[in-house]
Amino acid sequence: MEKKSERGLKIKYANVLLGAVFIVLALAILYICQRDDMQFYVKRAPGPGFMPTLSAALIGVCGVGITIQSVLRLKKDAAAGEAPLATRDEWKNFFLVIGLSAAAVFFAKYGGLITVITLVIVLLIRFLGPEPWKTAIPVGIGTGVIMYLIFVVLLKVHVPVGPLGF
Amino acid sequence: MELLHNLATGFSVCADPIVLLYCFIGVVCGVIIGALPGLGPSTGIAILLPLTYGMDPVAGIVMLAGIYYGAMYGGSITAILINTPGDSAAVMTTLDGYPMAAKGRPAQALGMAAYASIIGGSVSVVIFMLLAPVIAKFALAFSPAEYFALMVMGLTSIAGMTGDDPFKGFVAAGLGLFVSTIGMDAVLGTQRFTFGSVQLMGGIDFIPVAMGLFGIAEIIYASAQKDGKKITITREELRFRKMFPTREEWGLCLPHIARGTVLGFFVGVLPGAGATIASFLSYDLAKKTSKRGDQFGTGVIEGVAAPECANNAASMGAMVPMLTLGVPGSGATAIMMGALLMFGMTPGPYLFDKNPEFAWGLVASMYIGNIILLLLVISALPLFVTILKVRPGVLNGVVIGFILMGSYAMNNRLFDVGVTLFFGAVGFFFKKLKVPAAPMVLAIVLGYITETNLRQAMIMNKGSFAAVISRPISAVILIIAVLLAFGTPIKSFIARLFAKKQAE
Repeated sequence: MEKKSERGLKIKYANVLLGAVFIVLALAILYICQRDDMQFYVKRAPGPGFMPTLSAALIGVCGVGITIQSVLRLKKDAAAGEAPLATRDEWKNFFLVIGLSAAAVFFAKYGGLITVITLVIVLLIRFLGPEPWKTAIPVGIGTGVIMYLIFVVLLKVHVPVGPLGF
Repeated sequence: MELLHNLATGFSVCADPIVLLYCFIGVVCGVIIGALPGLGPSTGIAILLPLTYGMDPVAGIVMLAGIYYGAMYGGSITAILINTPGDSAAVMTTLDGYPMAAKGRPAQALGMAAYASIIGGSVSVVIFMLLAPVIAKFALAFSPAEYFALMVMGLTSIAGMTGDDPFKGFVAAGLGLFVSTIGMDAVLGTQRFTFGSVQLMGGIDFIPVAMGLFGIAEIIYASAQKDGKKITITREELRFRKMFPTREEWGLCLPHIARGTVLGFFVGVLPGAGATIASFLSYDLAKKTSKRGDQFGTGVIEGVAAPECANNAASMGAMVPMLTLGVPGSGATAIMMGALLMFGMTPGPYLFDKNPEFAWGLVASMYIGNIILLLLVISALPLFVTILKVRPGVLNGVVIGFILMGSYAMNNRLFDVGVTLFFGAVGFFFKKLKVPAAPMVLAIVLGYITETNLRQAMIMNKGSFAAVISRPISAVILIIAVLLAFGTPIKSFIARLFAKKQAE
């Protein structure tokens, strides 16, 4: 029976999907070039659409290559790439890091950048570690103070300030 | 004579206590970062780059260079002590380093790794010093066509040589080229892929992309790995006396160090080849030429010396194309080149002519950096080993905090933090699906220059691409680029041929 942590999209199918995503991306780049009138050639010289078209061609050709290669591998060696794209722990960490950091970006204007980043550090140490609160809180606050000294005091970076004044 | 005069100028620049301090900080951070499994030189430079904002260019680049060669050595600490290389360039060091530690000789292995790294690094600075100005003078004759060909060579070699699958390497390069086109078109001023966003008009900087692809992605991935090994080494086992190899061991190692250094330097000069390949080739060469080649892999000291000198020599070699031609050959040098541009310095043949103090200051800092590295290793290795005991959960949280703050501090924009997070997420999937990130970062750094040079070359030839292929130097470079593009298939073909021959 399949373990709970091994469920989900398998690597071998994820590779096929990856190739397809690149093909779609290449087509989207070409469509935007057309829509926004980024010409390939302008007055006997390369236009603004020249490099995007070349990069789209490269992405598209490689996307086709990855798709074909992955499909052929599926047929050739059905047992290969059985592992899931990411384990449960990896998904948890992924959403924790990206989610908390995205929330920090959103709330930085209201809570102050240093304050929200300190909060993110505390929560990450607590839940990503996982470490006890008695470790997470002092390390997080200490890092926040060091960041304040380096970036705000020393490097004079202007950061969004919250109700606490930093 | 002129060379010595230039070097003296460089040393006078580096004699500034602030520059020395930053060199020291860079080497210390580099050793620590290199020692942490998963965090290599590219990640280290990307994470610590924000600390150089607003710094004097010499101090800034000296610090980044210190991180680079500090990390090259740092990778060997975990390779030897816990059989977990800090970065890919230290993989070969595990083969004999860890068995040496297991046999109760960790200090000798760490000591030889340090001495070999420092000898490799110092000797290759001399080669660098002799070679760089010559290449720079040669490159002065280059037109936009040759520069375009060089950029293509840099991109194809790194895309073709990194990772197992050339398609994935090239798709990463393609994505990087596409990202570099976002913003205002340099020639006609047309907006490209901005979707009306003011933030996107200035384009996407490579630093948040690099911090996301290397830093965030690595942490998400590494924090879920639960196979970390515990270090049970005592301070007693790392005493200075024990770290110094015997006369007999020096006799065994020195020829391999000499060969590995020269080999490593020239492999490092080749764009895309890098320290990993250099250490692999040097280990292989040492195994073939050693009197006790059959014992390699069981804990012989030459097996530690050969890859370690080569990977440090390669890191110096990689600076040659970056500084003289403006073509970085690896992820780490790509980030350093971006930093140079950030400091207002344009890498290329004019760097040594227009900014001699900066260029020669960097060269002199390489000597000083190696001495600092030696002193650090001798005096502070037990401390580094203690730092390795910091729990990953704590370290990951702190590093993410610095990445978020660093990406904001670059332009004082929250938008850049968003870019870092976006590419962090992309980088995680890249890592899982084995799409190499280095070609993407390199393409973002080189994209603008590549496009501008190609368009200039074609405009000069009435819009014809013949401008690029009809010039002998650019044509030769493009042929090499095509060959390098197929580096992986050629490598595997040679390996198959070699295996077949051996089987017979």
